Amino acid sequence: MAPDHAAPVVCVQTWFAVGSRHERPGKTGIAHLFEHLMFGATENQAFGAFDRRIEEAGGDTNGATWLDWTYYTNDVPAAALPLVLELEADRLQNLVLEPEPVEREREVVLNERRETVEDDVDELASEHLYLEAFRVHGYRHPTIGFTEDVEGLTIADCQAFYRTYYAPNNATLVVVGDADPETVAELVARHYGEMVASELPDAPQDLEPPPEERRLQLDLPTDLSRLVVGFRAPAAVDPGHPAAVVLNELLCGGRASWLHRSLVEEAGVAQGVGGDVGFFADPSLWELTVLAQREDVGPDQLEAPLREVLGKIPDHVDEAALSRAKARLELRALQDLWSGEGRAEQLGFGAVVLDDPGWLPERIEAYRAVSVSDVCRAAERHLRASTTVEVWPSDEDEA
Amino acid sequence: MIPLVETSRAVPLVLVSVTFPCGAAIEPTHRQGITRTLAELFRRGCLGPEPRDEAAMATALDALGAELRATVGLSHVTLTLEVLRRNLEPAVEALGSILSHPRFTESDLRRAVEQLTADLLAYRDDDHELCRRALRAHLFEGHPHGRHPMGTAEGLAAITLDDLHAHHRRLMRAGQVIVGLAGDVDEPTAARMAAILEERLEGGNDSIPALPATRAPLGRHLVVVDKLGRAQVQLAIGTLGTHPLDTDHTALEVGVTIFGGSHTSVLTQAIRVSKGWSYDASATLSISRVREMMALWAAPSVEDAPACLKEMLGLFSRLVHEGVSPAQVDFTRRYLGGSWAFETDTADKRLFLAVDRALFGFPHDHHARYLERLERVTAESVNEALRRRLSSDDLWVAAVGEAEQVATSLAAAAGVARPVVAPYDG
Repeated sequence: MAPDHAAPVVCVQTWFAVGSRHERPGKTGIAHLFEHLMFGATENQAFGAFDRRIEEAGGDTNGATWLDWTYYTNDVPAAALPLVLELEADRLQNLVLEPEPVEREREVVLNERRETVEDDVDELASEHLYLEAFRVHGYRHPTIGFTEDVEGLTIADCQAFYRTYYAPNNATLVVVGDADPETVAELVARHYGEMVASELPDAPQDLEPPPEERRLQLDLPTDLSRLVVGFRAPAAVDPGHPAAVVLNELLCGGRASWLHRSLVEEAGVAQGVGGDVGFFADPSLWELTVLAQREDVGPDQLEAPLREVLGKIPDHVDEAALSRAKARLELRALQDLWSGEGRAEQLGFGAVVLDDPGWLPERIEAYRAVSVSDVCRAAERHLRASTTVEVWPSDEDEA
Repeated sequence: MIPLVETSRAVPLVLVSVTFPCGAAIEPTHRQGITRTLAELFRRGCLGPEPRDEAAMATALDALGAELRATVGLSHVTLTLEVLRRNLEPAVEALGSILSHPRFTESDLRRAVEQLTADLLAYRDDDHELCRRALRAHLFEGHPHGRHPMGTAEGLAAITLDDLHAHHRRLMRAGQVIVGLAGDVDEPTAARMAAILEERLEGGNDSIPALPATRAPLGRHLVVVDKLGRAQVQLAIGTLGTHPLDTDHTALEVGVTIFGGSHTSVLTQAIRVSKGWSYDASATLSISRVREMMALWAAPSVEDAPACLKEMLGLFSRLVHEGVSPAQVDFTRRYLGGSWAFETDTADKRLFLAVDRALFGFPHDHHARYLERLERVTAESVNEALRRRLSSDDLWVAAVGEAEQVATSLAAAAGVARPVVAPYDG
């Protein structure tokens, strides 16, 4: 917990070390659907009471699911801390799954998928990228799930998921804000003290073979081509991860970055470039995305200058560039800490994925320690075989 | 210049905001997008005694751990600089150079226009934005609030350097520039930073150009933005709301929150929780210098769209004609009253409220007295505001979907005889 008495508010988050990578083939989407179901009835609370009681106290509540984790967050006035802990502990132990609410929430999730994946060119391309890049590992599962899998999930599946993963030995409670540690400890003992641990399954042994070159062409209803390239990213705990993040910043971070200068300003073929090194428990993807500037630019015209920049990294990198990237990363890390919710997210993420809730200051130091040779090694090690997704605008008449 | 200052030592960062109290609403009709062009040029470096092109300025700001963003609205342009505390002064100096000597060159203008035209193309992929834009364009047709700050391809292509200089002068001189700092900065330092910026800003205090009043539409209308290959239909329903200084604004805000402002609201319960029709089902009340929009939003599947629209309109009609109950008002007052703490819990949020007060001419204690105003709201005042301000008969419905599939059924659901069909790339 992180007490902060600057404002009379508190953020309470519960992080679970379960996400879509823990799902079985054919059952994708269960972690995310279950996140929705956690706002339902319990043995002690009627359907809808969780949201109603939080709102009545002046709070807001939500949840999120990703590859490695699921978390629930509540922003409430400080006086509502006992209520939140009571309600959170209750739904962790006494959730009731009835057919009708489950069916309706399944429909909500399918609509969420239509909105955020099927009608979203970038998300659809990303889903294909992960499917193509991972043949074995659970990171190939789209967190929202495949439509047919979500349609097939049963209440029994959900109950088994709940009993297995929603247990104190798989959860981390985070409290940030206007609360005293003694009070929190007393409330936690009262509401969570009787809970028993579950028998967690062994971590999935889904070691992905070394990456190889793969390429996919998609015709999608858009006017602009895209290129999405995925390299194998190191695990977040890998000592080489900070160097990869620094290199990514050099490549894509802002208007002085190498790819922006080359593709947007010099070649004039792209309107934007993006890059992200996966921050996950296992080796994941290092994604580079490029969006065409005009309708007459195809993915092939985006790829040539991209590959050229990647091939010349040792020629570009120097101490001055490194220093800029590190300053940008420090800024970004601190920007996440303005709010109590942001600070809680950092603590929860660190606890669940890195086994270190106090990871952020150490991570900033690790960025500072990255050298020119570290960056060159990161390029040599990771920017090799890639999965490439070319997005071509589909012919409107055939859409 | 006395800057707005909100100090917090929680994070070693400082946020500097410079807000011009005019935006895209004052653009010449045939130069729509010129305000964004100006903002984009602010991000492309500076001229003056120490000129820097885009790459040099970006490099300098990166080295300081600084990030510059530009936001263009209908009523304002804001430059926001976020910077590591230790580098505040050189970053503010750089911002001052940008403000005093923007890169108004032919080549920078051409690149800015290319970039912003590309943004217009990219935005065609965002169905929610297409829906919002279509709704505003029709609800406020002929009024500057019907425009989108992104502008139009034709407007962008027509911009000359002379246009830019003229618009820049107009923007700089209209009203007083609002400078604010939040975060790890004390008042003397903030005053020093504001002085650096003031020195670089062109003086002037012309009156802010007045906008004509917005008018409610007559009758129900539907526009379908025709886009192929959709799995769902983005739906929006819009009518006029209130001015933030109207005496019944807080009552209407409570009414809209009851209807669609939280997880337990009427619309969310009916459309999402009971039917599962849409991931989002909400209502919003926008504010500006003129009466802005009250809108309902949902995104059902193609198959459910007509029934969903019919239900939304039915619920809206009941809200306007039957009102809300005292219990609903009590609940929502507690919700809004309690959650007000989250509008003021961080320095950056407090600064944004202070900027809003200056921007919209609110009294200095406008936000401080919010809870008092909320306390005075009753079911009667909410219902009077709903009846007086909203109309379920005079509104626009906007939908993004394949017109051939959905236009007829949506028109029937809305009780509209002849829907307007608009191309998504128009």
